[in-house]
Amino acid sequence: MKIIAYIDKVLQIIYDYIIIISGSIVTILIMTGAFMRYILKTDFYGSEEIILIFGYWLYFIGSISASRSKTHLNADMVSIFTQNPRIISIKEIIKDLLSLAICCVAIKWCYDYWSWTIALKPRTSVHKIPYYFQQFPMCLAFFMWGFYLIRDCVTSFLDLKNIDTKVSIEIFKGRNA
Amino acid sequence: MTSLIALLILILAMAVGIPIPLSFFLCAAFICTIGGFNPLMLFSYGFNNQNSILLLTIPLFVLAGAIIDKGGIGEKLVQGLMKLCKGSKAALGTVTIISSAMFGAVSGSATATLSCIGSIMTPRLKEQGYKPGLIGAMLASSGVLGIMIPPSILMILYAWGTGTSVLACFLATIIPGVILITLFSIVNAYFVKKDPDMVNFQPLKKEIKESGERKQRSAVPAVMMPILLLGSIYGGVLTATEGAAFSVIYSLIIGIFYYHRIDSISFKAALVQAGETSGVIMVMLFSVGILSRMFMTENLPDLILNFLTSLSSNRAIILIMINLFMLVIGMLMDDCSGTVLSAPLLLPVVMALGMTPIQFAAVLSVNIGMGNVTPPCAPLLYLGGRVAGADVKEMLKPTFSLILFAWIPTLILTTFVPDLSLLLPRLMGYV
Amino acid sequence: GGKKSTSNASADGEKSTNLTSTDDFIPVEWRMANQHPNDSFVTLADKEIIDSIKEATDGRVNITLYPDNQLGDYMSVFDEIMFGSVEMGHISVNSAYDSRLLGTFLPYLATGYDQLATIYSPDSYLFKTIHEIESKLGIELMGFFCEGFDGVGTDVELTDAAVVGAEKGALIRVPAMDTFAECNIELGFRTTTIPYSDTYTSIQTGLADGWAGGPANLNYQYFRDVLNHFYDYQQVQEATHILISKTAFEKLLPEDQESIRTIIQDKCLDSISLAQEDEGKYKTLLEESGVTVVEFSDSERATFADAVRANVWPKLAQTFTQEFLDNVLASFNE
Ligand code: NA
Ligand code: NA
Repeated sequence: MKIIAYIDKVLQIIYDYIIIISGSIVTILIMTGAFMRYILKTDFYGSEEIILIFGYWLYFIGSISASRSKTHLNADMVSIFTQNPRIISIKEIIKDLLSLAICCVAIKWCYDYWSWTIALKPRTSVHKIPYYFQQFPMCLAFFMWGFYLIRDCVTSFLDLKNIDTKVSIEIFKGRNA
Repeated sequence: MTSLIALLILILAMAVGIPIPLSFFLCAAFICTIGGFNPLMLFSYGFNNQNSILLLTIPLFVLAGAIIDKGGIGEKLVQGLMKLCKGSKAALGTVTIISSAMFGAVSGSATATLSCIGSIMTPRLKEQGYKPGLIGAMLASSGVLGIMIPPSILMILYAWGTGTSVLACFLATIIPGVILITLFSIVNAYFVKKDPDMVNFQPLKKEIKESGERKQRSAVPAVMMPILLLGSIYGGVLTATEGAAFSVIYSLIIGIFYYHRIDSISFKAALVQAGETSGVIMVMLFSVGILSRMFMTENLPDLILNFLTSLSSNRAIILIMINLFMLVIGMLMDDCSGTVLSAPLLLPVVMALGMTPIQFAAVLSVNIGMGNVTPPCAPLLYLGGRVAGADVKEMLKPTFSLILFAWIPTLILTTFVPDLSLLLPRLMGYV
Repeated sequence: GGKKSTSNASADGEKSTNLTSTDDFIPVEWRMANQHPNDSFVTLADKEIIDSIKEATDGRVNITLYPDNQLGDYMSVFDEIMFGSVEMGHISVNSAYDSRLLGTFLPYLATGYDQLATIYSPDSYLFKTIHEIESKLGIELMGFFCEGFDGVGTDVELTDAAVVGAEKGALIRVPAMDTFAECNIELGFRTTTIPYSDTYTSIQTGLADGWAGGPANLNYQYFRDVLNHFYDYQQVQEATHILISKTAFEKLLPEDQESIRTIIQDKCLDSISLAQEDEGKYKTLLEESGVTVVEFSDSERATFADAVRANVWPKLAQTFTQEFLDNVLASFNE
């Protein structure tokens, strides 16, 4: 258990650094382009291709970090209509299992796309940078999301078990009183 | 038929609480499978669709928002306004609303506006006896001013999805935004007046105490920011995307060297937080883009237009129905997804009715903005509640009053008076 | 999966088509994507192609057109034609898989409409080479469709517009591709590669003074409000590709394949005069809306072409390979 917690912590540090580095580079390169055009009167030719690579790393590593901290948006309506912890907990399990199933399909198709495109070696127009530098974070994001969804499923099951024991303790207490 | 079942699947998936991007993906995967398409197209489309510099504006504005929040710029803007605040009970509420609009001129997002202005104003409003429910509702609605006053992430998405001029879209939402400011202030004044419990009311005599040196710092660099930002974009120095990068750097520089609020730790924290928020938005755009593409294959715009025209031949009624359709989309999902999904679907429909893309940009902003404070999926309302320390229940009454007396009138005006949205773009020569 | 369609498809396809006769062929429904506005002559031509195909195949091939990038931009439509999720496309080419696919965009490849039939003919070196490359990607190239010569639209008046290399006094937006950037630098422009989506507003705010890379119709339809001048440099013939997914194409009866090929190639040949006509129409419209159209004489255009072929083409050899460039030049000097 300790080792998992350790790996988890190291991964988050890696995500943080990728976000910080790619976010800074994107900002600096975009401003450099403006500076070169407006002040130096030259063109930062092909900058778009470089910027977008870092952009994709920023987007998708950011999204992995969000799946770790469960901040992806959802429109959960069940918990508005009921406060019953058992129902909510069962709903959580259904939700996590379905999410995991959808994510697995996404991982499969994303992997298919990746292997299809990598065989054809597409490259950018100006600098001839292989597109896989940009496609990799996208595939990684779906893969890691699946990984964190497995974690969510496990915790949901544990939560339900805890609620069951808690409810039975309460019933037990009720009888005693 | 496929589209209808797909929509049903989408709503069910979201209702169970499956993350919105995965719900979109599920829906797109369904249409793809039923239609017998090669699923590789989903990722190919998603990847290429997102491969645009314009979209990078979004993380940059999110980042700028986080830095402005930490850098003391929001607080300076508010302090400037507070000096003008005379002693009426309603004045502080009005300050909150106007600060949100001013903050909106440097920030592209509603969430950033809400969380920054909310955290500054909530303690002051509470001190004057405002109820948390009213504060939360007011903050949530005012937060939308962050996207009504340019720059705006929503308008960037709209322009990206429909190929309309970003700068013209920015201008289109200003007058509807000003109407919202006025109506919010009136609703606020009404609630404050009706509230018998506001006994604690005391006119603000002293500026909230601040530690010595920081207080000396002038608000000028903060107030200069929107002027420099919008000035350089409209003055032909920077593109909108470069403007966003400029906001990041400007707010960073004055946050570090002038207001002394940002150090390397808070800078990293702001970047990581913004990176995560951008990740959430961009993955959502990724899947909602794919879904929108699948709906196109199914000819959904034609289906919608045919359905609407079969119900009525009256232009006004069709426009109202389109608004209701968008409202439902806005109720179900967040602002970014709602925009990306409804803009390409509905633009051909409203254009067939003679509405210009620029006016529709404004209608969509008001509508999707309202959807953002309308339960069940009301990210801004919930955020407002969290910032103000209010229950959703307490916020419902003021929220519905705001919807009824501010949002809906503005929406109707924007829909039926084209000049409201077209006047400024026309004056600046964008139409 | 997609891999299969790129390699083995042709063999499989021929076997199956030989067994099918006209009577028991089950009609197919295709999707065709283009990047052109609804009322453009290109979309009109695409509709005519679709109608002719339906007629010629006795309703065995039915095609629905999705105009105006409805199914995505040319990059993703090209991919989708490779997978077969879009069966047919009329688009600019995605050069990510092979730079030589940009061959139709070589600057000053042609210096007038009279040369286009030879240069883009199915027998030309250019066509054959691109056909072979696209074929390996699972795509059947049906023809090059001409849409007009690209000029430069500006809101300022150029200085020494006709002098190669003389400073033009204008910062113009060019696509981030060597073919466009190098050509305009050679002519004497200062270039910027800001995104196409920012171009209109940039000319409006004064960030840029104009743009290159579009024929008269685009300049009129999207840019006339911000332009004062249209310089008809005729740098590049805007030749788009009409493409069909190989998997889909090879499932058709041989006679239907043949009639489709003929219909499209006839239309592509027509496109040369259509484009010329359209160009004339939009130049007049530009003039009428207050944009001065600046034309160059044949000898001036010949000077541009000579300079660009001498100084820009060698730089493009990296992208296109010297062999390709030599063969293209040789083929149309014949
Ligand atoms: Na804003
Ligand atoms: Na909502």
